[in-house]
Amino acid sequence: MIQVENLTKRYAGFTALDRVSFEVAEGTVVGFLGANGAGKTTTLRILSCFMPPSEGCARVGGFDTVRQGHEVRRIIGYLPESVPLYGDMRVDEYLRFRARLKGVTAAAAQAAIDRVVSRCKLTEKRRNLIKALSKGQRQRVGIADALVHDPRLLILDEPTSGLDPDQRLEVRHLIAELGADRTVLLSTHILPEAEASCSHVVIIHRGHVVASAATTALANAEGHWMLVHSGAPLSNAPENHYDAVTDRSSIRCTTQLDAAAMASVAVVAGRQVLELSCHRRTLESIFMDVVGGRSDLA
Amino acid sequence: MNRTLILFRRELLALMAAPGTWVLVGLSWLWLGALYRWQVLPSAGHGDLQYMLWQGTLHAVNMQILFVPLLTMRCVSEEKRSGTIEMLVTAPVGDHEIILAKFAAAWVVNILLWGVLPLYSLIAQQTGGDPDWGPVFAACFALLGAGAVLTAIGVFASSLTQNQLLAAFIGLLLTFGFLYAPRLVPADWTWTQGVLASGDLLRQVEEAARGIIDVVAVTFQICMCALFLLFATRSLEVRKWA
Repeated sequence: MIQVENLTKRYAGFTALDRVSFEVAEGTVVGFLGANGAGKTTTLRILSCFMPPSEGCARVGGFDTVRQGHEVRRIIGYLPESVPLYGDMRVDEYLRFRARLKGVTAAAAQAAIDRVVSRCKLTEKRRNLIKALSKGQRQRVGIADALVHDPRLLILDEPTSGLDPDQRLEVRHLIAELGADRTVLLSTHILPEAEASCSHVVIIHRGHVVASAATTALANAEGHWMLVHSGAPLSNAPENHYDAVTDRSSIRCTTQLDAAAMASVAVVAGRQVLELSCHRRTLESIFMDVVGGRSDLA
Repeated sequence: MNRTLILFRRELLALMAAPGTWVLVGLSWLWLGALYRWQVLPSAGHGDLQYMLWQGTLHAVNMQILFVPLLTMRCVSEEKRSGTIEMLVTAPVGDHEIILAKFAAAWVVNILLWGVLPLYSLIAQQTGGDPDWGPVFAACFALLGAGAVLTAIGVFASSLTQNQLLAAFIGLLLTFGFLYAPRLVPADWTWTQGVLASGDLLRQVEEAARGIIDVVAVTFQICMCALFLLFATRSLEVRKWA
């Protein structure tokens, strides 16, 4: 659905993106992760045809974002980070305006509005002025706007930024629903959110892609690991199993079978097994490693 | 074209819903009404309809130096400030269509500003006068042209900045300069004055108020309007080259 090759964007005296390349397959929900200023919004703005790259190329649905911008804009739904809306319009009035602008016929506009209003749980607010809505409701209007022409690709730039936990959960559920029938590219720096919503992640750091993989593959890249606490050093355990950060009483294993074997070793050696725990790496720890240069998963 | 119409309708409704628009329309009608009551009638008497039309047309143009920048100042600058420009330009619509729609909506409201002017002649006719409708229509046609040029200048000024007040100030300088530069050049600058005189919008409007529609003047106005709208479109595209 998206192919990005050597995308570079330079502002005066500053390179925001430096030869960024990644791909997004059709029908996936992809998290575009990075710290503030990493280049997420710049990439999304190029993909949504807001501005062209300085070098490189980006293709969306097979269309070039520079030469075929009009075609690209017809198949994407884009929600900018700040969710800019016309506060002086009512919700359904605004959605009708946006639907017509995006090429939905007058006859089909009402059905399209009913569909997105219902999907974004805005039915009770559809006659309200946008300026009178809460931030979470405005966010929903922004998503409804991005959806109103039934796009193949949804690009959401930090859709939960500034929301309270309840609203964040609501938007997260909505994104999960939307991902069932279209491609979603979701930019965020809230990592548990990406972990919960995305099947793939692309991590960008200081204008470079530092990791791009399926979320599960990324988490498994250094494996689930288990820790056997035996209470005292075990001299007969293999050297490479010992946890480097503790004394030799802790043994780190990468498979369940290894953990069972090491527990047996402890028991045979006459030690008590105090704890047998299973640890899984979180996206947050992977992100911290990757952007800190401790790991390269690109 | 269809998308331009959709944008035009949204822009026109937004302008009509803004209290500031009606303040400007009310002030301009008061201005033209006061002119009719206290300047035209006492100096010309009821009989000189030609003088009345000439004065009214000139005032309608001069009034636009102040009112058009106030009317157009939010056109693009407000979209830039609030970020809604990002929503507009990422929809399948061209930058030129956005500018054209904003210009057309502001031009319609601009017509409202001086739209009471033909009422002078209508009132004169209703009270027993015999106005010559040719110059009246010619004056209205010239005001349409001059208004289009000044509105295009205002839209261009609005596209230059996110700050509405700054946009209004730039618009004020540009509209004033465009109208009065040909008259402020010293008489001995023969060549410069010759060039500027050919683009003297005030003179073109004065001639129209006497019933003369000059094809060259109309062409000039269309070209200037297109030029400033092109500048505004290019200004909107600056984001692409930043």
